[in-house]
Amino acid sequence: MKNIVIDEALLSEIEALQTLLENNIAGMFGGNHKARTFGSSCEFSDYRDYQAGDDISKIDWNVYARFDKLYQKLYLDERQMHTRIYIDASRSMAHADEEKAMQAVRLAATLAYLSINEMDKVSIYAIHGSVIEDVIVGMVGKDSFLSSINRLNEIEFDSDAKISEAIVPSTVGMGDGYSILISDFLTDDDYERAIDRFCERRRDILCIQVLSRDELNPQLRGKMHLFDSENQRNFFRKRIDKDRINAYKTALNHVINRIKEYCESRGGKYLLVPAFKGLFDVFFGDMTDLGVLK
Amino acid sequence: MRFLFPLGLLGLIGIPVIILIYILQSKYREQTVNSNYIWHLSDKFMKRRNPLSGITGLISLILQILLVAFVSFAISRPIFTLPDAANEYCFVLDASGSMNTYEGEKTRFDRAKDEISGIINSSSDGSTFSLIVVSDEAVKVYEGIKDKENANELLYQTNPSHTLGSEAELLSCAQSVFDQNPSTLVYLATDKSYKTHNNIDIIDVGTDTLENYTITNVDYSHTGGRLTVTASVISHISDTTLDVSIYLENQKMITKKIDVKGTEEKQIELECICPSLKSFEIRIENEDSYMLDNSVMDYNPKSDKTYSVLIVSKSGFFLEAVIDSLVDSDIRVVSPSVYETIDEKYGLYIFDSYTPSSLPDGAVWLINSDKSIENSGFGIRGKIEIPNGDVIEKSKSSSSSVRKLLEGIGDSDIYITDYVKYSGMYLSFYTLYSYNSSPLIFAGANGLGNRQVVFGFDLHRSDIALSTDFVMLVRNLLEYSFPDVIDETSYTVGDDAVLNVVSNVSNLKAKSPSGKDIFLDTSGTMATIKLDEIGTYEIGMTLAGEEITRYIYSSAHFEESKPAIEEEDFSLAGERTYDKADGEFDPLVIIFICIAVLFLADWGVYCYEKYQLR
Repeated sequence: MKNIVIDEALLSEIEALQTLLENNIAGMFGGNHKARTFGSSCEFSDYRDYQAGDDISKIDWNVYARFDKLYQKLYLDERQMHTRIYIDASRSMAHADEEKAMQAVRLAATLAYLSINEMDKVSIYAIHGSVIEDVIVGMVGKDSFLSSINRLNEIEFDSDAKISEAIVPSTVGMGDGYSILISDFLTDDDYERAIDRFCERRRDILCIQVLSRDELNPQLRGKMHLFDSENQRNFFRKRIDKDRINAYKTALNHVINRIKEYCESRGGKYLLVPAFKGLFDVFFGDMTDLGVLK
Repeated sequence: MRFLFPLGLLGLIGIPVIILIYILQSKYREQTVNSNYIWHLSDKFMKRRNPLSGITGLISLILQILLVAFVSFAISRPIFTLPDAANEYCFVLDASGSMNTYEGEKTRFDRAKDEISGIINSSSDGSTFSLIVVSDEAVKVYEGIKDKENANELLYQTNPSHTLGSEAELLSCAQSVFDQNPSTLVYLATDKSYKTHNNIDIIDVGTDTLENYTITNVDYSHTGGRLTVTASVISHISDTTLDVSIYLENQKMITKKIDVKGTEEKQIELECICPSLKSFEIRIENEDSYMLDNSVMDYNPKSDKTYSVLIVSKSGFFLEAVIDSLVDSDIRVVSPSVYETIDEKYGLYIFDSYTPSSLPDGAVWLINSDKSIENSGFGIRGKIEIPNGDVIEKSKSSSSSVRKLLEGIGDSDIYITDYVKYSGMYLSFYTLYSYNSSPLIFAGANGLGNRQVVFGFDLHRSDIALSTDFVMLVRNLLEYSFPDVIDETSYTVGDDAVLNVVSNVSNLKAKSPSGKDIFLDTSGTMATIKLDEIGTYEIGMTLAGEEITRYIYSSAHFEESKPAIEEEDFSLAGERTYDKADGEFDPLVIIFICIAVLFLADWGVYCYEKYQLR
């Protein structure tokens, strides 16, 4: 990436954001994370039949007196989550002024910091073609965050991105936290398979679609010959007038609704973030409304 | 269709230029975008296009081409020819004195101009207009012009005269126009009404209910320090009481109330004290529609006149007595020996039986002069005796100058006993009396340009001095010898005032009542001024080295004072035809409107394309 996104100013902004979040919001992803396995915390969850070798201190003797059968008390286990953030590193994210790429990196850094602050483990990946490239893996603690987050500046947005082909074969974890996919989703690639993969692995899903100002509200008029930044042989040669713009906006809504509806149908969350939108507005507004932050 | 400025069509070259620019500009603009995905997807959501939307992109080009075409046409000023749509108009405008009558805020002449202007403005383009203004004479202001603006401008520059209108002149002008082209629409704008008219349209701008009072036939006598003025007054419409005043030196001296009956002329007499009369004005004080005929002024032409006479004679007493009885004069009688020592200047030198060595600078009477004098205009052949006396012959010439000099003289016989026979006389001399075809009493300008009277016999040896005709002759000769520039001071507008160009006058000039300087031809012995305004004319001159001003008054014409005149008929002879000329249509205004609409439309299209979707 040509521009330095992760710098002192951004880190200060993230810190300030975190302070505000602490004062106003319970925490990232709902505060303390309860594992879906049973553990040794003090919070009761259920009973099961006693088996030989079980800890006899967790037998519920009152229940034995009533039913004349040994039952073992079960408690919810409290585990460290692993937040995995996937950044679409295709050219379409970084064309012209790199507005979308910078916003994607800023969002990834901020989400990583908020997770770190919840004592979670964070990994950040870049999708290049059909490959997942590790940018930061297993980052825990603020010291680790500060020492490794600069690597986001080194992501090269210089290829196409085949989201499904990259994510489906990769290790996405199992029921241990959020999988966050940041992309413009302007592709025919069936990213739905990636979402299905997260779903299968019982991952919490958050899809963030980053779109530039021109993509949201194109200013082009007249006879245009448009080349795709990812593939120069892919061109669009038409006269752009009022009818074309209306059709464009309908098509854009169609794309947004497609990803949103698919995410929600898989229990995930979807968020559209304009590339020019400030972090405070994104996290205090959109993320809170969406329930990502509570 | 024709073009006034065909070179303007060169502007059409701009059309291919615009098309070329459009072609060059209409290339597809290349640009790389993040992703074409949504643009391609938008094809699925494009609504079915209106067939006309295909030319949407050409609207601006079409508008610009039309704009250039219309601008070029506007510059080249196309004129369309409309067959048989135009007429030839001729307006004959009555400019007689009565057209100065006020009808409300405007004069009749102004109303006539408005009416004519209305006809001009409502006529078809391509029509031709002619305007003839007729007062006592006809003036063709313009003929056959097509430019309405120019026709109106020249029309409104015309002014009415104050003179008596000539219906014959009106008819003659209109007939002349009609004869040239029987299809001409001839209009006569006048305040006179006609019971019938044929081949001409009458624009009647007069009404017969306007009050007007007139004073006319003014005469006066001034005797014994009293001025008596007689005049006629008339109220042209209704019975009324008129206040009539006399002014001396702009000071009202007397006012008299006069009851008059409508249309009846009434004689009046007003009298006031007036020790010395220079001028007076008699005025009707009542206001009416035509104020110019409400007053008359008159000036006493003899008020400033002086007669200085030097008689050189051994016995000039009876000449002195006769002259003194005729005029208020300054007369001196001297003997020939004293004459040589006199330095004073006199208006008239009378040499009785004495011949000076040279002619003085002034009027001269040479009586019984028997020696030739340089510049006298005649020679001496000798003295001839008539032993038994004989009667001299009075001139029977019909010359106005001779008639004037012999005015009031009877046919009584005048006897002489001798006479001087003269020869080589100037042809310009007028012979009043002669004997045997030899001139005896004659007058004329001598070689010095002064008026000269010659008696070819001795008055003492004739019975002429005993005749009553002698007094009349001396009176006439005195008037001849003391010519005044102005003999008559009272005129009616339209008259020619006659001024005497006397020898000792110079810088003769005149100024009209409106302040207009009038050029005078002073090459002859008389100059005339055409009096075409009502009021006082100032006549300035240098007379015998002294700057003086005399006045003459031009009064309104009685016939023009009548508020309404109804005539029987005003018809043009001939058969009317109805040929029309080709009209013209100048679409400049329409072209300008089209240009404005096209410009706004093009601007609208530009804004629509540039801003509509934001």
